[in-house]
Amino acid sequence: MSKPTDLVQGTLDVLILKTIALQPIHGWAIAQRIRQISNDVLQVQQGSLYPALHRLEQQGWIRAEWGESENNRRAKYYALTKAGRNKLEKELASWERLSAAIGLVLQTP
Amino acid sequence: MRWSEKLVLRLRSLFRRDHVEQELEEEVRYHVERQIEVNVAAGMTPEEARHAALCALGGLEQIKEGCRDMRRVNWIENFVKDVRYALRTMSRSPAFTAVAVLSLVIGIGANAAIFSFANAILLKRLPLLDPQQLVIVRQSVSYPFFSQLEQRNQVPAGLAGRKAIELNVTAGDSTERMIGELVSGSYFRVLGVSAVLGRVITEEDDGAEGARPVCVISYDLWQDKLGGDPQVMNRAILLNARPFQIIGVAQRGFHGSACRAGPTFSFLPP
Repeated sequence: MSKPTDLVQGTLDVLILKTIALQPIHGWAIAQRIRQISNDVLQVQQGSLYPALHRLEQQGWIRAEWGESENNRRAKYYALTKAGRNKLEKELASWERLSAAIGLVLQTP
Repeated sequence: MRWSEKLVLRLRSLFRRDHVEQELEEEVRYHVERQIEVNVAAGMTPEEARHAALCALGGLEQIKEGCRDMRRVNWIENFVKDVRYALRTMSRSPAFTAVAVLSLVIGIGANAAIFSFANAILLKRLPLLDPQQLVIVRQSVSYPFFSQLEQRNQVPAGLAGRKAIELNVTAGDSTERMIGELVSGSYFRVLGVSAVLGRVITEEDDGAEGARPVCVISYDLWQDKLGGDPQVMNRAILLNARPFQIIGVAQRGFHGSACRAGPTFSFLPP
């Protein structure tokens, strides 16, 4: 297995939003889940995860609440707001357009 | 999220800073502890696990600082810190501060004084119809001489007489020493000054002897001493203890042709 890849620039926000959209989740689990779902290909830099979460919160796309974690400890859970859901949809559409365009270029014989 | 919720978030970061900081600390600590558990489960010793977890995070303080930067109120905190730092530095060298403050005070004061002087002399215009056409003759002449000049009518645009005098003005309840102007009936017409209330003095008022003395008061006098009373025309004011009928209030900003501030009024020679 090759080393986990750094994220494509600018995709951290949309990955976080998508992960949170499934259910409220805390920071550590976000990093784990992105890694698991991507079959260990995507490695979120832990150093940039928390500033990104705080930024998204300040922008009103996610909302933070304290809750019990799966091992009965207090953890900060992030949930998507309505504005965040709209933002996610926009980002997904834009990503699809972009990746399709890149695919077209790269697959040209 | 509505703007109100964002506002709450900002205010919270600003005024409940300790609380927010503690939450940040707790959030990051939770992350580290979870990572340690995972590392231990993978077979590391507790120390190794802790070291690896911190390494993966890349510096606790950097992360916290990164999170703080995301609060949109950082600039306020930084500004307050800067101000405090400036005050501390200034209080450490009081002599330097005193010199700096003093030179600023003198500089600003001198500029303000020069400007208000230059403004009155060079920039401010008399609030007249056509101030550039006005010629002021600074030679005092007797009233009969002026009347003759007026009758010969050799000045095509018009001729007006004025004399500034100081007198006791009793308006309302108070008596004050003020500068007024004795003016000829042509004065307001020649200068092109109108009245906001009532009428101005005209040639008709250059009356027969013993005619009822009338006066026009300045807008400021009307406002300050007579309370802007719209019925002011029915009132009389005392000039040097003699009653004068108020016939009008001059347009705002007109204080007589001497460009002086302060309540001035115009009236007929008694």
